[in-house]
Amino acid sequence: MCRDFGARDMEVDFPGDIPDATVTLGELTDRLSIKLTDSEGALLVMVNGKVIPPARAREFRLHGGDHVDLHMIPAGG
Amino acid sequence: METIVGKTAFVDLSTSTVNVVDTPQRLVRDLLGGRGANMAYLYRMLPEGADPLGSENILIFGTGLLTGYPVPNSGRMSISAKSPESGILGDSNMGGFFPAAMKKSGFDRLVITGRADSPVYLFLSNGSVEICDADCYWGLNVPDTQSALEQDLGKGVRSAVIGPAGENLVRFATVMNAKKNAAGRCGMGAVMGSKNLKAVTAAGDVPLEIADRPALTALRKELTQYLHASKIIKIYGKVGTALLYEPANKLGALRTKNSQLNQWSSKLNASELDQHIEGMTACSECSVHCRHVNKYGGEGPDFVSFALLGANAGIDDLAEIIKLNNLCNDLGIDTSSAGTLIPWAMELYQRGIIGDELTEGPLEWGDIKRVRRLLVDISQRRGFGDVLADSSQAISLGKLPPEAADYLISVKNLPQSDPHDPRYIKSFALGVAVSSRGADHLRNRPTLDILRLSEELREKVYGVSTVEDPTVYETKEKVVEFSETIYAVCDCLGICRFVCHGWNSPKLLGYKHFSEMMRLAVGLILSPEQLSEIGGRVIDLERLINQREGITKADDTLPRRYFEDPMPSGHTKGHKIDREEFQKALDRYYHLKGWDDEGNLMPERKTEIQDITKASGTILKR
Repeated sequence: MCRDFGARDMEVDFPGDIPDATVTLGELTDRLSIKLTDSEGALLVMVNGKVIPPARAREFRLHGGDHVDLHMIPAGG
Repeated sequence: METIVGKTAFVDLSTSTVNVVDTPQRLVRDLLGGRGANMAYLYRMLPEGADPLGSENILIFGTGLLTGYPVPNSGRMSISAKSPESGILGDSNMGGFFPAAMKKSGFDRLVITGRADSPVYLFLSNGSVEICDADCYWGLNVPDTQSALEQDLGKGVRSAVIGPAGENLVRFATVMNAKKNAAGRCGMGAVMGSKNLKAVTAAGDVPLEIADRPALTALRKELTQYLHASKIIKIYGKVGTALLYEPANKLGALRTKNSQLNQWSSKLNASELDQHIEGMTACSECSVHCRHVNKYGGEGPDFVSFALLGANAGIDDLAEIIKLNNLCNDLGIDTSSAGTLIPWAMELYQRGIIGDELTEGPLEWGDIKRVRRLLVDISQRRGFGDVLADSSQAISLGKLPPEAADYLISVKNLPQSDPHDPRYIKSFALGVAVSSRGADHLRNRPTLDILRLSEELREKVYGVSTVEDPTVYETKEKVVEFSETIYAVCDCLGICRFVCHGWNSPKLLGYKHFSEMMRLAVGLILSPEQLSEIGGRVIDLERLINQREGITKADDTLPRRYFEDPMPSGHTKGHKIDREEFQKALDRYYHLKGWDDEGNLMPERKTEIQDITKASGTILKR
């Protein structure tokens, strides 16, 4: 996960007592204190290279080994 | 109350005469300044069918209505002429410090006609224009020209200059002020070269009259705080537009190897740029500071420059890409066009459409040395560089075979600027197709569509209901129309796109802010609705200019590849533009604009727009 500019990929461990060994994207971003949407827009969320619309992102279930990309897209060059 | 205006100078280089008049009040009220007012002069004064590199072309330097005033991000201006690259209207916007200096030298606008017998430059100071001998500067590159002018005219004098590319009439030559601030698009530097005009210099030391200084000072403080509260602005100030590379690449929306591919190396991610950068810098009155100062003696690169000179040319060495960016700026070459045309030639070579006899040796992907040499050859019009110096016109000039057109990523003969591949985002694709200066993202790019924002946020941004899915065509005409209208107003005011509502956030500056800034700065009272009307008026006027140059509905289209070749990898895999759906979207766009089915203005609207251009006080050329 690239959390902010300059940050590198990071692995996030969750406790083993989560049902079915999955977490929601919302739980992950809460843990990292990241807002998926706010009054300025939304992060571009990709899980394993696929875009997840913000409206569905919080409840999207992640599995062990999934790769999550969160990107702020400010503009066009 | 009359609006505070400056002067407009008509400079005839053929006769070495200058005529200075007050900027017409009605022109300001109806088209503000910058791009909009420039278009009125272009419409009235450009002879139909004029040779863009002939003395009959006119060249207009137009500051925005708010350029130079103490309001956020008001450091920009527009340079306009008939484009030698596209053959239609040419218009290019630049920041830096020259635009404010030009305003403070007493001038809103320069309208330059004719051609000097030998190299000259213009010196603007305290409301007067001097035509000066530029023999000793001719042949110098951009930074050397700027240094020599500053040495000769005094520190603090700002200059907009051309380099060797402009002198040699390269059709995508830039006008440069400072190291990187470029009026990059449409070959305005070549128009300067064709007029033997090496530079325009300005001693900007005349304080501007302000309608309500105390209130404007308070508004400036308020708006600056408002902008600094935006997280988008903070990110820009930290990494600039380079941040866009990684998401575009991961998504599979990055123009790579002339759009044969859509993903490239992670070596060009913004996080890798840090080691090559000394700091960030800004234009006058800037709240953002988006421009890098690099360790190799130049400024930049922005996303456009390093993605096109990198991924699109198959290069993944960031240090070398930055040096190529610097070289383009030194020579006065548009990185957008160079980063599209060289990869185009590489694909033509790859496919055997052109061979060693034309290219004078191999032209392989990723060959940094070859690209560097080619950029110099382009600027000197030497060897194969002379072919590419003609940009898309190389085909009609018989320098490249007709089938080369199938692989050119351009619209209306202007190579595409944005490194994003529009096959996935349909609103972006429509925007590129209808942009008045050709394939360009700064006319109307709806950048937020990719994020699939909520209905509530989308309405807040665009003011209308639109479909969330970026791959759907329906309603995207509304997004394009909203974006092109507010961006046109920005260009008329001289405000940077990066603080414009809708460009990247709903929390930036919009019509209400612009209205208040104008009232307090120059005393012009226009409602937000009236400002929006002016934006639409500018688009309509540009349509008239282009139609006079032969543009029809058939030109509001996209490169063949975008319709026929699906994107090869990533999240966007399989996406392309559906011709039928695209045509329907185009028809809806025309309808929304109030144009007929062929993209023509209705007769009464045409008359209305023509009447407005009469305020320029110039004679219609036919």
